[in-house]
Parts: sequence; C-alpha cells; structure tokens
Amino acid sequence: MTFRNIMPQGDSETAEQLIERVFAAHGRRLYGIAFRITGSRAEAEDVVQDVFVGLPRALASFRGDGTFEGWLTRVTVRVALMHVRSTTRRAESDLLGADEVAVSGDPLDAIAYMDALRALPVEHRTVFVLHEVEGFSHDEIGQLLNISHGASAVRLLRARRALRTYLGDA
Amino acid sequence: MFLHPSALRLEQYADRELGAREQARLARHLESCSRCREHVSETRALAARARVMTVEPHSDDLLDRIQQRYLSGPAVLLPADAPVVRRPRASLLQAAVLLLVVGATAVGLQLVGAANVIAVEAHGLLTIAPASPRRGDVVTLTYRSELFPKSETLVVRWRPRFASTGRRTVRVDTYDMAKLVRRRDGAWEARVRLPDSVVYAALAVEQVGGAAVDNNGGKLWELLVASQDGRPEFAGLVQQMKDLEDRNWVASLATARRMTELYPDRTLSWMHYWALQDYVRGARTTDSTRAVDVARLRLLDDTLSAMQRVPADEMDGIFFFASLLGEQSIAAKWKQRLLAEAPRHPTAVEQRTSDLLRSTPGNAEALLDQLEQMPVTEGHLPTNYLQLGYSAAVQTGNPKRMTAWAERWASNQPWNATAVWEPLLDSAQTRGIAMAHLEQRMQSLGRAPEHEREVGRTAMEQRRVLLAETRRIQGALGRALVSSGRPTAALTMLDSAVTGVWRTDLFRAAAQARLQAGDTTGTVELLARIAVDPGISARQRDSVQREANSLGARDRWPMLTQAAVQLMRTITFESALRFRVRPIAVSGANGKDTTLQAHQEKGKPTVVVFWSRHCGPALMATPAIAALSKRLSESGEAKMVIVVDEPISAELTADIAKRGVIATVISDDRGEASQALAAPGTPTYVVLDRKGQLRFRHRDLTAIPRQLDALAASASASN
Repeated sequence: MTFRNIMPQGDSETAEQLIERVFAAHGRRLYGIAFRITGSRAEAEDVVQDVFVGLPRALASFRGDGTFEGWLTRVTVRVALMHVRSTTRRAESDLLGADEVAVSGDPLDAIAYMDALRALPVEHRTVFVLHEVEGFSHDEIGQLLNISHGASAVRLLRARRALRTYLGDA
Repeated sequence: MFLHPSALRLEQYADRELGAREQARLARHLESCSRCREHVSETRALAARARVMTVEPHSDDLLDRIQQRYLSGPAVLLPADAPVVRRPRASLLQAAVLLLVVGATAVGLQLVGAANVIAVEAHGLLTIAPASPRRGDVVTLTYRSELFPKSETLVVRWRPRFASTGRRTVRVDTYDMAKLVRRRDGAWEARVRLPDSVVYAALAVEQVGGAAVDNNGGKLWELLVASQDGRPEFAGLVQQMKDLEDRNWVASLATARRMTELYPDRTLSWMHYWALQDYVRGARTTDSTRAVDVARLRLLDDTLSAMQRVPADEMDGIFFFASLLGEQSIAAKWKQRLLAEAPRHPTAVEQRTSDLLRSTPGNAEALLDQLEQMPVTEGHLPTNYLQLGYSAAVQTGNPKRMTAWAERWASNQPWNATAVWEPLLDSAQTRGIAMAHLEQRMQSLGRAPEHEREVGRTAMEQRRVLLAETRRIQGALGRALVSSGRPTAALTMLDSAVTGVWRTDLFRAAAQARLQAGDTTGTVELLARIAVDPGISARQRDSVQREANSLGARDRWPMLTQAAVQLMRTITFESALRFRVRPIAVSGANGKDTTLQAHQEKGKPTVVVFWSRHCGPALMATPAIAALSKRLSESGEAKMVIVVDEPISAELTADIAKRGVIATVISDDRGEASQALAAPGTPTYVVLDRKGQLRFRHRDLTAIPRQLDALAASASASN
C-alpha cells in the first residue's frame, strides 16, 4: 500500500485548469457562503483556498448524488465551520468594514445587519445562512451539520429571534 | 379563548414547511391576527435582507494564490462528504416537546460538529461481474470515478495468482489485465476472459502508462474464483491469504478463518489459521484454544492416516500444524512420509536442508555436495536451500561453486539479483562475473520491467524504486572498479552513484576514488556531505574534518558544510509527503482504547516505528532502532512510538525495554494505524511533524536523523 498523489489529470486538462474552471463557475458563490459563516473576508478567502487546493483530490468523493454545486457547497460549509472552530480570536483587521459589503439600500443598514449576523453564535449563524440565503432544508442542514431536523429548526428560530433583538425589530 | 400559534409554528408557516391543511389553517388565522401576521412578515424580511445583501467580491488575486498554493504548498484533504438523505420530518409534537425541554433546561443544544476527520486517499469504485466468477469465465469490469475526468481509456493492472503459486512463493509478477473504455454514462467498462489457472488477483486502476493510479485507498480490489458448488476455491483463498500478508494481517487472518469454515477438512486451513492467530492475536489466544486445536490435529491425523493416498499439500499442512502445536510425534511421522512420498515438495526440500545444516556443521564442502545431490524442482526452491547453498559456496572460496550458486539464486529470485551478486565483488576471482551480472541487472532496470511494478504503484514511484537500486549497483560497481585498479572508470560510476541520493557510504567510496585520482576539491566536497549527516557520530565527524583539513580545506570548511546541508535538505525533502492524519484508534496497556495522536508530544515530531518481535527483518533492525531511540530521548528532538501487532502485555514491554528501546508502545490490534499510515509491514518508519502531519514513510531507518533535521530547519524557517 502506498499513498497516491492522485491528480485528476485527464488527457487534456491539468489540475490547475480544473481549479480555474471550477473557480470561474463557483468561486464567488462559495466565497459568499464562507464569508457569511466566518464573518471575515480574510478567513473566507482562506476557506476558499482550502476548498480549491483540495478539490482535485477530493473529486472522487463526489458520487453523483445530487448536484456538483450542492456537493461543493456542503464541502465549503464544512471547511468554513472547521476554520471558525479553530480560530480562537479574531484580529481587529478582520472585522468587517463598510466597504466590504455592497447592498442595495442603506449602507448603514447593511453594516448593522452584518454586525448582527456576526454577533450570532456560529451554530445559529450557520443554520441561518444555509436556510435563508442558500435555501437548504432542515433535513439537509441536519445531515450537513450532523444534527436533527428539530435542532436545525430551533437554531433558526433562535437566530431569527436574536437578529430581531440586535436590529431593534423585536 | 383562541391560542396564537407559537413563534416556531409561525416561522414554519413563513418557510412553507407545514402540511397543506396546517398551512391553510394558519393562513385563515393570519387574516384576522395582525400580531401573528407581523411576525411572519418580519421573518420573511430578515431572510430577504440576508439574500439581498451581497458581499463585495474577493481579492483579485485569490485564484492566483490558490494556484500557487496548490503547486507548492501543503496538500489539503477536504472533509468527506456524506450523501444527503431525506429524513422524515420531525412532527410538530416532537419539535414542541424539544422546545419545551430545551426551554425548561435553558441549555443550548450541543453542536455535534461536522466531521473534522480528513478523508484519506480519494478513490473510485471498481465492480466485477459476476462477483464470484468461475475459472476461465468472462468478467465485466466497471469503474466509476471522478479521478480521471478526461481519460477515455484506463488500464486495470493486476497481480494474478495461480493454484500452482503455492503457499511459498515470495514474489508474484504483475501485468495489465484489461483496457477500460469509457461509456456514455461516464463509467468505464471492460470485458475479459480469465485465464483458466487464475484463482485470485489483486487489482488497481490506472491511467495508461501508470502516471496516476487508483489503488482503492491502499486496499486494492480483489477477484476470487469460485468452484462449481459456489464456494470460493480453496486455492484462491490460500492465495488471497498470502496476498494480504504484509499489507493487511488482520484481513489475512479473516481469510484463514474463512478457510476453516468453508474447508474444515483441509489441514492447511487449520495450520494457516493457527499461525496467523498466533501472529496477529498473540500466544495468549492460541494458548487458550490449545486443547481444541490438539483435538482437531488428532482428528485430522486419524483421517489422513486412513487414506490410501495422501496429497503432498495435506502432508505439508499437517506436518506444520503439528510442529506449531509442539506435537512432535505426529510432526515427525508426517515429515517422514512427506520426505519419502513427495521428496521434491518445497517443504520436503526445506526440511532436508535444515537437517543437513544440523548434521554437517562447519563442513561447507560436504554440505554443498549433499545439497547439490538433493532431488529438487527448479523454480520452486525454498529460500533456505538457496541461502544455505550460496553461503556454503562462499565459504568454500571456490569461484566456480560461488558463481554457480549465485546464478541459481538470482535466476530463482531475480528481484534479489543485486543482493546476491554484490558480495561476490569482494573476491578477485568472482569480481568479473559479478560485475557482468550487476551491469546486466542495471540495464534491465533501465528498461523498467513492467512485471516488477507493484500493483498500486505509479510509474513515477517505480522509477524512484528502480533509481534507488540502480544507485546501489553503481556504488557497488564503483567500489569494485577501485579494487580492480580502474580509478577513472570508478570515478564515473561513483559520480553517477551519488547523484540525487544521500548515502554516506557512497560518498565515502566516491571520496576515496577522487582522492586516488588526485582531485582534492571533489574529495573535500564529498567529505563535507559525510560530516553534515546528523546520523554520524561526533567522533566520525571530527575524523572527517581532520581529513579535510589535511587536504587544505580548513578555511573553506564552513562554506562547504553549509552547501552540503542545503543539498542534504533538498534531497531529503524530495521524498517528503504532507498529509493530515485523522485520529487513529489503537490500544494501550491493558487493552485500553486510545489514539496514536494521544501519544504525540506537543511541538515535537514523532517517529512511529511499526515493529514486531515475530518478524525477522524487524528483529534485525532492533539494535538500530534502540540506538535511535536513545539518541532521540537524549536530544529531545522527537518522540518515538513503537506500534506492535499484538496486545500490550507487561511481558512485551519488558522485552522491548530489554532490547534497549526507549519508546512508548501501543498496539495496532485493529490494523487501523497500518492502514491509515499505509505502513506495508514491519519494520516501517513513519515520521509525523510537530503538527501531526505525515511527512516521511519508508523502510530505511538511517534516513530519520536527517529527516528530523530537515523538518526542524523548515519549522524554524516558517517561524
């Protein structure tokens, strides 16, 4: 038995070309997911780097159940959560500034919203982002985060409750 | 009094997650309840704001950084993806109860984290139909994978084993089995007729030319032939058991057990099962079943004794079974019958050879005469026969006999050719022919014989293996040329021998050749390499430095050694890996469950030594392992962990300590460590860096000090 550096080198596509192709199609979206979960641009870029550097090798675990896009999303969420858990302290420079969020509407509103989102515990924030922004069902979130459907629903409830409080909507 | 729906229910309504009837009922309520209506609107607005809020794009150079990191940085293993399965939705009652419980206790739910396990090797899926083919059947091979997205054709490479391979064959050749062609659905397929004589095969899938290989995560895929009654053939099971030895002892034991269940009347089933039980589970297990095993032996003895004609393999099996159990009278009886009725059987030859050694100690000529007169079958000679004849011939000093036995051994075991001919370089009378054979071997290595490329090994890895052997031969030939008084040819050969490898013995030989040729500059460069190797003693280092000083290199010495260190680290890192390792379950003292990682020391690399006191090569390496363990414990540069293949007992730890090994000992009784670290048998050495990543894995202990040096240098550079 020996380890392999399996490169999905097809007859004409190198791994670098594969990375570039998938990044063009999905990079921005995955970055958005990572950003919303980690709350930090620098960390989100780290997450995306990890996902794409590991992509060629990880492709074999994609069995064709569901879409490639769904698979990529799930992998990105997992990596983002790992990053969040391993980060004990966030540097000041990682804090979101107004210029990092583009919205339609009031920029102050956007800042307030992002601050409120980041103030949530990561478990609640993750469920919120996956359910509300990415459109995952509680079943799918449960599978992804290894929690029950009910637990996912409760976390979403709590996330919404906390956001209302932070944003003065309650 | 009308009750308002709970916040949870309202939010489920907002998310349209309720059943149709419930959804309609709540809609009617909302028509007349502004409070609940507001809650639903706010819930939807929160989501809308989150969706509308797009994040500013990432840095422009993110893709560049990804590409750079992919090419030069550490490998990343992503979390394994579990397929999303639709689960029945929790009922409203269940959710409400949960909420009540959670609310009452005011404790948040524990986040059971997403897997922080890093999956090891990605691999595809190869299926064989029919799953249990008969001999000579046509089988359909189907392969599914995302590893080779652009390959229209792939190759199935196999290591076929035949009924005639027997239980003693050391090495089995490998071949291309079939060409897989891509189907429209993206899977690859091949149909191939099995040769009639194949009873088992281990398989891997690779790109044409072997650039990339899928070896099923190190496990390979298997093909086992069935007999007419549907049972796997006995010969096939024996071959499967043999094939699994060294790559998965636990699986090999499982096969032996299966042999006893499916073929309880075969003595070889019980013999192999007992031997593997003893090896994998330890003497405590086999001692506890002794009474049953002896009863079974006696039953088999009675059965075979009543037969008119006993097949040689059965005699072989019962002889060994009796020997292992220490039942000497039964063993002696069947040994006698085997020698008389099947004198050319490999076991008969092996036993005669051992008897000969006992009866003619010290008389090499007489021994050799008798060996040469023994009835044997060429091509099926046991190793002890070849070894004994060879060493007896060397003892006689007779060049004709030495050459004859070297030729015999090398032709019976071609993969051992280098080791067989090398010692004959020392004698002037056999040097010429030994050099000729080694040159021939080197040329055949240059042609990269495909049948020697192990199943699951890429072409590049094979080239590295062949390169290592080629360099060894070049070193040996170089030294021989020096002895033959041909310094110029020696220099050329030794220059090649030291290119791209780090071997202080070759540096020494090359330095001597250079000095003889009058090239002091080249000599001191090579001496500097020897001096910087952390594996040599301080005394040796001083001696080398004095030698260099005597050649006028004192002033240049710091510069030379600095360059040598850089070269050493470069060459060392060429064989470096970098894989994150998942927590590996092992057993500690008293069978207590623990992990390999629990025994690592924070901030230090770990040298993991796979070792067994039942394994000859491992035992031979023990003094060197002990010396290394002493060095590591004194310097504190790394921690050593010994991984054994038997349960930890006080007796075992005392045995290891007695051998001078200073290390933590853990047991890989489930085989998880050897699988996770891909350790192909004992002894194998794995170096984990201070972050627990797998960096080096090999069977050469002498490389460890410089590997630790390279890791330390790399760590301080990144600090």
